[in-house]
Amino acid sequence: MKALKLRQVCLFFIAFIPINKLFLLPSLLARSANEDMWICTAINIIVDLLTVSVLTVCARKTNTDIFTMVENALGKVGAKILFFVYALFFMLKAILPIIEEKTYIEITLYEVFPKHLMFLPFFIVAFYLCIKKLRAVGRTSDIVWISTLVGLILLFALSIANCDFTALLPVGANGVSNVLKGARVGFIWHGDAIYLAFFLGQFYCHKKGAIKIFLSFLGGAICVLLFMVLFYGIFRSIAHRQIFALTDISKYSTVISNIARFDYLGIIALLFSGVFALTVPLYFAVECLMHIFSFKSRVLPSLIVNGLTFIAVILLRENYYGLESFAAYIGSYLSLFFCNVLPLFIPLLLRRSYKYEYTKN
Amino acid sequence: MNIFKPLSKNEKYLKDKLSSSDLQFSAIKVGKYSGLIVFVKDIVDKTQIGELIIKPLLDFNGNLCEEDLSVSILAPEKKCVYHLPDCIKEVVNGNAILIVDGLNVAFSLGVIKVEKRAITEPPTATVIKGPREGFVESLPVNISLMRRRIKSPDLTFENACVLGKYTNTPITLCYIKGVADNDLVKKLKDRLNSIEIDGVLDSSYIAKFLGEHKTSLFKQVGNTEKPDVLTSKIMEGRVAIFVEGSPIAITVPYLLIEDFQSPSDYYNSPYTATVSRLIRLFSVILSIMLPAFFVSAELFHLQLIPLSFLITIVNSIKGIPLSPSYEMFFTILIFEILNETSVRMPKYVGMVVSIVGGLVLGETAVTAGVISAPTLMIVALSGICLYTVPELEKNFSLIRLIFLTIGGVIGVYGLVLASVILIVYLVSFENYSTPLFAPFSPLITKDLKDSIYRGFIFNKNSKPFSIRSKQKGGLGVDK
Repeated sequence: MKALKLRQVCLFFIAFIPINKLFLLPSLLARSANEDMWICTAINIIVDLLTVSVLTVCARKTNTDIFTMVENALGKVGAKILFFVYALFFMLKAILPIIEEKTYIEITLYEVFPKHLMFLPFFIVAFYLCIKKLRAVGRTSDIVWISTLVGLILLFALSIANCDFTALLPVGANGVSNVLKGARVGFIWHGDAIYLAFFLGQFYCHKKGAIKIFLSFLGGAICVLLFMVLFYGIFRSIAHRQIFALTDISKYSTVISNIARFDYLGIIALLFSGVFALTVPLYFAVECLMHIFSFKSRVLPSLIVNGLTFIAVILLRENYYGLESFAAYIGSYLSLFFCNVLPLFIPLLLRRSYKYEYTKN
Repeated sequence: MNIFKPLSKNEKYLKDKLSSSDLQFSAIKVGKYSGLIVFVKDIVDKTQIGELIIKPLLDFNGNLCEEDLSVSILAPEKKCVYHLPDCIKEVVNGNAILIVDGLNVAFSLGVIKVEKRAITEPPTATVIKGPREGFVESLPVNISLMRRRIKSPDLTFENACVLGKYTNTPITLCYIKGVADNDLVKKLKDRLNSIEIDGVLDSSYIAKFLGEHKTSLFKQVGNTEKPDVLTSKIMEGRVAIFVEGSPIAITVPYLLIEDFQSPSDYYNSPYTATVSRLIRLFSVILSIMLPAFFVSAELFHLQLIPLSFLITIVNSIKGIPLSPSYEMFFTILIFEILNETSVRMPKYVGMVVSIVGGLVLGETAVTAGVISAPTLMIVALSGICLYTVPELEKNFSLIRLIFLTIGGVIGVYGLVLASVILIVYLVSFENYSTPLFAPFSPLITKDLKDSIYRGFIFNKNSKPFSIRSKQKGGLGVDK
């Protein structure tokens, strides 16, 4: 029996894709591309969808998990090197969103709090999540997608009345280079298609299933696109100053003014999903370490991954802009390479893996 | 040790082993032979002993053998016993033992007559519309209640084992053959047979052994006191366990959603049932989150409270000596103490507790400025909400305290993290290969029609997929 169901893979993408892209990314994109920021997001989405298409084809054709497939194709040593690099990459991929969300929570929800200790409980929770098996990840998706959708729908409903869609016109006025610059910046926040590679062999996928996964990914991505559109439609020329827009996007609604800030309920729902979304790369880093070092239990690798990430977050907390610059340049290229380019070679790995198994038998 | 032929030897052995003053050793005549009847005075029907055993045996003139004697004894329940230790077991179980001089076999005669509680509505599961019968402490009565409801030859009662070194409590499995999973029945029997315990006083003793996780926060087996509820559960593929002396039957496997369902949901309109279930779910969430959210908002996130309410709160907490966390803890502690007292105290002084708890502790404490009115109101509301799901009241009360601690220390984000841990704990919990949080996680859409919302009975045309029963046939097919 496989660890995941097809439905859980689809809900995984709906639940976790939108979350990390709602905090800082909109203002960064607005800085580069102004009213064309939604095109930058669309480019990121299209690149991810290409990767998803390739991976869904592979999912239909294989029942072998990615670790066995890579081991068959590249040998044990090659596989270990590759997954070690991926473990480091996933930890790097996790750091920026964690710092981002940590800062968002501190600014939005707390006025005075010991900042380092406040986010330590997150790592305790992340450790607990990382020691669970893949089946728990799938089952969590069955629940969390509701929280994501409720949060997004609430925020969209409250903000759409204040959105001026004409602010997005004229399309393409900022020039291709600015749009591509914005898209380049966005790669480190996207690149969620790589998780599908690690789900290969863990669920049964038929032809319609592949379409369902594609549509689920597209659905999650459209939520992000819609957020970008609403964001610029509300803030227009000052959009680049609106860091952590999640709290501000809905506050101009008349309903909020008359009743109270019940949009915080939506934000809390998104923060709930956000805990899982932040832990996903850490989880896969643990998976990689499990296969490299053949740990019997997930406790030690979870401790290592979360411990190292916590230390990195503490060390980097005061150097956020340096981290942001790294992310915008080197980090984005790394993300593009590991999340979108390397997975395109999986069909070749699959072929080699088949040949290896055929030869072995 | 086999039964001796000389009666005196058997009598000596039994008198050595059974020295209690409530035991009766009666010498009788079995035709021209001597006999001995041994029984516990207070738990047998002496009229039956006289009419069905002693009287017919006075005129016995057959051969001194098992078959002839068995035919002469008129007691409907009788069996032969060949060993003296088994005779002792039969006597302490409430049967009478007949031993005849010159015969090395004894007869165990079912003449037990124990005072039983009348079948009444169980206090833990009252309904406005629907059956009001409840199980009692007597196993035969409980079995009869089930037989009346399920008139099918597939209804199976299996004597799984006898548990308790001193109590020797019979345990009986009840399931429908062809519906319940055979592997589940086998697993349960193995687990029951592996239990070593001094005594079993209630089914809850067994329940703790049946769970596959020793340190679980939530219960791992279901329970019910109502035959109609148990009937519906075993028709879905569950296995029930009856324990002699306990009116509460255990059911396996268990889903968390079961405790959010009430028997009255099935006897009323599905619309009202759905609303009731949603209210229960909302109440549980409110009971856990409200005190913690309030405390964290007071301490860290004043912007979350609407301005008009914030002014009220600020005015009411002026001069309160305790911090919001301690104030809430103190009030919850008082509530829990009142709760415990109300369960244990004699009913004659119940009014005193209501007056002391409500007026003195509640109103006076607020007037004196020890606690604030919003805190008292929130604790009262939270406490009432807990009782919408009485089966899980203790669990949620504990979770409420944990959330309150976390909310008071870390704030709203701490509540978010605690919710994450709780959700992950629930979704990854399984017992007897059945996920606790089914049909929500894993999402089983076909079972959702009897989860938080109650579908029409004629749409309920399959057994739940959450429980791995052998049969997936119709439960309410409209033919």
